[in-house]
This record gives sequence, C-alpha cells and structure tokens, in this order.
Amino acid sequence: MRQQRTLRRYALGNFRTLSRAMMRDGAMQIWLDLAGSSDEAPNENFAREFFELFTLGANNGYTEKDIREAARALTGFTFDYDTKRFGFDPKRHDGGTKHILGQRGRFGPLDVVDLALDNRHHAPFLCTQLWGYFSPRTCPPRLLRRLVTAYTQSGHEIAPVLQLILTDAALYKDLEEPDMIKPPVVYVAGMLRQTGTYITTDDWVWMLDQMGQRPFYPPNVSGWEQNEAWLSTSSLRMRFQAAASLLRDAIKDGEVPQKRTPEEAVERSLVFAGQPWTSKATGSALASYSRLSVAGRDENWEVKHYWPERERVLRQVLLAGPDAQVC
Amino acid sequence: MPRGCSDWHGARAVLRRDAGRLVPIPKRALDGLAAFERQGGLSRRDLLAGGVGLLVAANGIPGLSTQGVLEAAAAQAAGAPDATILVSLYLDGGNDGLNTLVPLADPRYAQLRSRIGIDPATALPLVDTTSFGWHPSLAGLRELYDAGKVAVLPSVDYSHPDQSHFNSGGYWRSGIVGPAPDRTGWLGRTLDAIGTHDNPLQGIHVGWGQDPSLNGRRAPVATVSSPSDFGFYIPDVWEEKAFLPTYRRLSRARAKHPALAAVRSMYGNTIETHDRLAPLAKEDKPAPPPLPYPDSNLGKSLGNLGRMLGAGFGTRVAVVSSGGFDTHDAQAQAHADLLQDLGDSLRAWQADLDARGLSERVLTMVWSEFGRRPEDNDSAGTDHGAGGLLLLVGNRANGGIRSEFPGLAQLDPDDNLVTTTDFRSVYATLLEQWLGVEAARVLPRAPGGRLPLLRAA
Repeated sequence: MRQQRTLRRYALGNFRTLSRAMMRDGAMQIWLDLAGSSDEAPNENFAREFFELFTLGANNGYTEKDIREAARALTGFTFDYDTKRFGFDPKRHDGGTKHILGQRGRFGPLDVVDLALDNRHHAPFLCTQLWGYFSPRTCPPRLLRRLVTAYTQSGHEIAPVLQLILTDAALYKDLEEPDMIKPPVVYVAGMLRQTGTYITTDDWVWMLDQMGQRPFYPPNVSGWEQNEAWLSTSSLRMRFQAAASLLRDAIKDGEVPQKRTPEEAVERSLVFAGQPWTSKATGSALASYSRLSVAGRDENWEVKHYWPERERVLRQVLLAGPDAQVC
Repeated sequence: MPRGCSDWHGARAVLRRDAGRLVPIPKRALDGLAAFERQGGLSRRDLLAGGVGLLVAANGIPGLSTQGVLEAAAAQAAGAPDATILVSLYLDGGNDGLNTLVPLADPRYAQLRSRIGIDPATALPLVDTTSFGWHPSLAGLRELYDAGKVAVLPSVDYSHPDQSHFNSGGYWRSGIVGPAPDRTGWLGRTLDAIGTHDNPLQGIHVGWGQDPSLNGRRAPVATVSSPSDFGFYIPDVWEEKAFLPTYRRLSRARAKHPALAAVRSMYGNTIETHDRLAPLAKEDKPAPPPLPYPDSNLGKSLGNLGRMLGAGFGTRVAVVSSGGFDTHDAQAQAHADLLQDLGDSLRAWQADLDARGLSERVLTMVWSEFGRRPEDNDSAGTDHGAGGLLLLVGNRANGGIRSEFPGLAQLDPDDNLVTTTDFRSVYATLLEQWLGVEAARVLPRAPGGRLPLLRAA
C-alpha cells in the first residue's frame, strides 16, 4: 500500500523524484533484491529491470556490462528482518570506479538514476509508454518530438507530457468506435459505477483474479500485458459471470407489467446500465430479442416470469456483451 | 506415415463395399487447393499425412464446393480419433536443471554447488548411466525414465541466451529468437497450419489467461481451467437458450477496430467452447484417475486436461504450467517441493493417459525459459542461467539421454552452462515427426537438424 501511495503522490510530478522514491520503496527493495545486495555479492535484479522496464526499454541503449556495473553502484542497501527497517550501509557499498552507459566514475545509487534519465534513449521511451496508456496506435512522430522536448525541458516533469497527449487532436481521431480493451479492474469499476453499486463483497477479488488481474498482484515486475492479452475464453466467461452476479434480485418476478413495449424494455435497461456506448449490431440484436423473447407468452405465469426475464437478459447483454469490453 | 496408408486401405475397402454412397474427391476439387492453402488451410502434404484418405460421402452433399470438401477433410484430420497430441508443460521462472538431473560424474559440480548441491548419495540413479542422478524428490519421474518413457535433453537454449524471463520466455513461446513480427506463438501457428477454424478445443490452455504460445492468426483456441466449471448463468433466467443466441449473434458481427473485433471473436470462441464442453459439464462425478494426482495446481491441471483429452474433442496441442521455479534464494526446500510435485504429477498423468487409451498419442514436453547459473549464490539460491533441461515424456518418447551435456569445466562468457541444443530444433522435430506439419510453415527460421526424440509405435 505504501508503494501505491508513493506512485500516486509522484505520478504527476517529477520522474526523477519518482524514480528515487521507488528505489527506496520497501516493496521494490525486497521484490527486486536491492535490499541485501552488497559489494561482495551484487544482485543484478533491480539494475536490469530499472533499465529494461522503467527507464530505457528492453535492449535499448545498454548492455549486460552496464547492468553488472550498475548493480555494483546500487550495493549497500540493507533490511533488518527483526526491526523491519530499511537502511543503507556504506561499508557494504562498492565504492570503486564503474563504467555505466558510457560514463566513468565512483557512482552510487542516485547516480544510476541520473545516468539512466539523462541517457538519450530515456525520454522517447517514457513518452511512448505514456502515450501507449491512452491509445493503441503508434504515437505520431511529430507529437513524440514535442513530448520529448516538453519532458526534457521541464526537467523530467510528467504533467506537461500528459497535458500535451490529452490535448492533441491525434488522440481523438477516429473515435466513433472504442478501440481499446478494458482491463478487468476498469471493467469492474466501470460496471459498479454505471449501475450505482457499492462494493459489498470480496468476491470481486477472485473474480478479478480469474479475469486475469488480481489487484496488487501483477504477474511479474513488468505488470500486466494490455489489450488483446486480456482475452481468453476463460477470462471472458468470468467477465460474463461477474456482470451476472450484479443482477441477482434486481428485478423480481411479477414486477414488469405486460404493457411494457420492447422499446421501453430496452430503454429502461440502457438507463440501468448507465447509458453505455452500444454498437449498431448490439442495438439491433437487443431490439429483436426484446420483441421475440416475450412474443406469444401471454399466460399469467408466463407474463409473471418471462417479462422480467427479458429485462434481466437485456441488462446482462449491456453489462457483459462485447461492447462493454471496449473503451 | 504408415497410419495414413492403413487409413487409405480401410477407406478403399469401404468404397468397394459401398460404391454407391462414397466417391473419391473429384479431381477438380484439388484445383482449389492452392487458394485454400493461401487462406490458411491444410497443405496437400498435411492432408495425406493426416490420413484423411481423401474421401467424402457424396450423397447428401451434392452441391458442396471445393473448399467445403477440403474443410470437411481438414476437420476430419484434426479430429481424427488417432491424431497425435502435444502437451507443453512449462516450468515458470527458470528451472534449475543442474539440481534436477544432477551431473554426478562432473567433478566441478560439487565445487560450484558448494551451498545447495545435491548429495550424490541421495540422488536417484538412472537405469542406463552413472553420469547423472535424479534429484531425490523425483521418484515419480525416475520410474517413467526407467520404463524408457523419458527423453532427456540436458542443455537446451539458443545462442547468446538472454537472461530476462520476459525475453527468453517470449522467444520460446513465439518460436522466434529476437523481436517477433506479431503476437502469434508456435503452437498457435501450428494450429493455423493443421487445425480447423471452428473448434477452439483443438488447442487448450488449462488456466485463466490465454497462453501466448497458443496465439494464432486464425485458429481459435480455448482457455479452460476446469471443464466442470464453464457454464453461463444469469440469476433467475431459466435457460441458456434465452440469451446465448443473442451472444452468438453479437459474436459474429463485424467490427471496425481490431479491439472490438477481437472481443467479438473471442466471445464466439467462448460460447463454442462452452457448447462443446457440455458432455463433461454434465458429469456429476468424473471417474477417479488410476493414480491420484497431487493436490497442486499442476496436478489439478493435468487431471482436468486428462478429462478433456479423454472426451475426444479433437485436441492437438495443450499447455499447462507450474510456477515458482525462480529460486534466487533458499532454494533447497522450495525446489525439492516443486520437483516432488512435478514427478508425482507426471507419473499420475501417464497412468491416467494409459487408462484412457491415450498414452500412444500424447507426448508431453517439459521445459523452462532457461536453466540457472552453475555457481550457487550467497542467498542459498541460484541466479538466471542458460542451457535448460528439457524432457519429453510419453510412450513414444525415445527414452534416454538424447543430447550432449556440455560439462561444467568450460562455461560460457556469462559463467553459464554451454548450450548444446537449440530449442527450435526440438520444435522442428516435434512438428514434423509428431504433429505432421512441415517445420518451415511454423518456424520462420527453422534450423536444419532433427533430433532422435521419438520412436516408432
């Protein structure tokens, strides 16, 4: 949780500050074996991921030798299992000369951050990552140049880059159909919000897990893979069942009058689901379902059950159908 | 392949008996073959290898198009009751091959593994060599090895191996070393070549997220954790047929953007998977396997896969995995537990396949993204290495040590085990000699050599 707070605090701030804070973050220190890495046995784990995932990108401007040298510069962090305190012990730090990213010096941990951030491969990497969070398309080169300039001239501020991305016309081009697949957390949070539901059960945790995204448990240090990687027959079935679980007892048998027209039934379901975007295909499928599902079901017991059932299904399709999976 | 021949004979016998009802595929049907291949269908070679016999029932389908004939043939080939099946069992995190198959005869082993080395006195002997011993937890695997059902490749990787989990694992899954042109995996492309366009269960990942090695361009695949738990329910909606037709209709609609198109197509696969799994979903109490599986994720996955293979869904490839092999510290106990689970699971798996009459048709490839560093570390663990251990398990596996162990006297520039076998030559061998598809159709840079991994039935 502390790591979450750190990320939230600096997310719109300075990337150098964020990187330094993350290096000292307890979860990071443990997970990537920074705590305990000493001059006698430097651990490469953090150095490798810091270059590969967080600042430069895989095989982008650094070598295995850079990783080993950076690992030396990052030695000296400690963790006391009894007191649960993190620290830095200069005696366990390798004070010798290192060669990192073409520079030579008696570098320490903070220098590794600076060397990576001042490397010419860093700014384009980070700006491309930020753009990719908002759009599945390649960032237009013209915009990327502006992003890189804004980022470097502001001294690694994140907010100006986001401002440029969010106000650029390229982001809003071609938007009549959603073009990204919702991550499970976005899907579930959106569904709860659209239907005005509160979280009243921890069942969401295992349901999200089976959709492929257990909160705070990324599959590995690079996080979750996005878009099409969310899709499998298993995860989609779970998305369907998650929506179904929201519909329990929502409409009782006998609650829907027989005079309600197919159009009214669809309209009411759209209101329930928070007026989501729907494709033409969904519109016409719902219209014909709404008409045919109750056709000829005029007996009293049939009206009592099938007319509410129609609206249960309409709601389900709006919450869980293909359209609901994209944004 | 002899199988194709015998099928052809059988088919001709039927033809003679039932001359009025069965005719060979008309010659002109083959004219459309090239076009069909371009669309991703079977090649002529695959058709013959698959033992289709090139026959169709003529009455009842008088107006069937050339393509229809070939698709029917393709479906028949993929679903043929004697089709071979490859199971990929992934040890997630980089298994320590040197403590799995211990090089007892290598004098450097005890020096390099001074902290967590396996005591030669406790290692389990191999029936045919004293050079190696199995980890003491591997009694289950040893039994299979002694029965000649395990082909062992001690150092499989690729040249200049990458020590990143993401990169190496990605290369193994895509079958391409270096940046891949798309998201497809080698098993997905295999199904593109030999599979059908409508049966997701031809490729099964037992789990939750689709395994990237199964990503294909066209061929649908299924991800199923348990076949007993793949239903669709809406509270107080009495029957699936109230809503599934609407979902089927939506899954077939066209979409402008790839995201919605992908969702719709996967929805279609999901419902198709559900429909095909129906016979298993109805089973109240599945028959217990002859040997109980360990109560672990791997044991459960193999148990569930056994049920699906036993039901004859036309499966050709499947993926299961076992996690926790990234043993950077305190390795001894953790690794012993993992290997115990692996050996016991594999023994139960082979017994299950035997009981289902599948053991001649199923081959299981056990692999990991890399081996671990020969020298153990200060945390009583091992760091990422190269040259991993690969096992092929099954009645048709060519039991024994089947490629060279490089020894520990000379290591690579990163102090790792020297690689003696490229994983792509393992793939190429399995593609051609087990799954019946030309390696070059699946692996863009297929290596030339083939390995002695299989033996005749």
